[in-house]
Amino acid sequence: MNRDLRALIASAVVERDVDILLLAECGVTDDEMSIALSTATGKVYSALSEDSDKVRIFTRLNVASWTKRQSDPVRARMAIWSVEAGRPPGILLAVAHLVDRRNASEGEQAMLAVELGKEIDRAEMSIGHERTLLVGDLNMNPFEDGVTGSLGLHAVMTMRIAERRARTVQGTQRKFFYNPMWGLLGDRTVGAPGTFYHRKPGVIDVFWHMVDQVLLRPDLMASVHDLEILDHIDEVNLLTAQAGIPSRTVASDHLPLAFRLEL
Amino acid sequence: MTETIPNLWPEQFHVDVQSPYAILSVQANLLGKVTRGILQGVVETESSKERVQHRLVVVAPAYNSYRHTLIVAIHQLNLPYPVEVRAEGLEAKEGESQSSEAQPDYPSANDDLEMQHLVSQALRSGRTKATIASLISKSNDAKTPFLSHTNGTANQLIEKL
Repeated sequence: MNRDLRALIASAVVERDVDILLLAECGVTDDEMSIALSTATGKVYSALSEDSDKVRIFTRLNVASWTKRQSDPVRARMAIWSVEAGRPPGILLAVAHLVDRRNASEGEQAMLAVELGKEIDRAEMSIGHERTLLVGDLNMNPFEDGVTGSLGLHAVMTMRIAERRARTVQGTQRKFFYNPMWGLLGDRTVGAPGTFYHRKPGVIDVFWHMVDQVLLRPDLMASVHDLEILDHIDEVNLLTAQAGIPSRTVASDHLPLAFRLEL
Repeated sequence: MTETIPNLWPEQFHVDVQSPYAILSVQANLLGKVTRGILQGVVETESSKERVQHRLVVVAPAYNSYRHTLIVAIHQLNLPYPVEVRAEGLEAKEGESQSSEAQPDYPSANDDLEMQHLVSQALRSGRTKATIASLISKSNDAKTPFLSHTNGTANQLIEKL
């Protein structure tokens, strides 16, 4: 978005009593955002990200409970943190803002998804648990190869499949993610049909895209509640009045996600 | 007819050409030696239908197995050269006004000698030295935990001892 949306974001944080806020393309400095959040809520929000990180993290949880597990300043498209939150051993939080189709081919997007999947695997092996969630703008839909592919994120649409934990593909065990975003696609569900609207000329166009996603490993998938695509913050409509698509003038061309984890 | 056409090839080709993967692997293996085993280097490879990328990653086993990607080398699936070499400090200075989504421009190497030059530039850069120093320092702190605490906490620990 790259705009100053401090007031609107602070309203959302107050309204939903947010512990952890993740922002991509934040239009203000971390300090400015932290101050806005702390002023609005009366609680101290700390910024955790390194300068190069694409996704900025703000939290009112104890900073000492966060440990970064990897960094890639060359691209900084992803970051993985272990967080001592809830019951031990806590959670592993991966955040990502992968490159979009204007700046990368489908193949490159899938390759980044493979890299992200491997980095998460390694972090899980290193820390010794799989209470993992991945949140971010993947710039791919839940049905695209990088998200569904077993070499990539291997995210499936139902808990029933994900609870098998893994499947063997060409002799190698590949762990599942559960992707609850499938349940929010289209207009037969509560909230907007996707998180991003984009029209392109051509034979195939899905119009609404679900590029912002939350994926959960089986160990954490029952913990997610109240997952929604926000189309309002307080009284502010984030959609255009006529077309009902994300309004860049009001906020952003992406709609935010909100969810609660019962840890 | 053929006598009138000169030899247009370069004088000679370098014949013992090393692949980008081999160049990064050697540097990865040397990292343990130059850091006395505190840090390790590994090369991770991912490929898509068209392209392959190799990442030189520094791992700090004593510091939560922290992983830091130093260099990314990208080339076509069947053609190791030209290879694009991405690292901090190698990005083009021009075009800094690009949007946050746009990829910065990185240099490419047409053979292993050019690749070695770019990798050397990246590994000897101030940013890389700072990263390696930071990870060694964090690893050392992790091995002697009381030294990483504030003075007050360290004093308390010492008093207890």
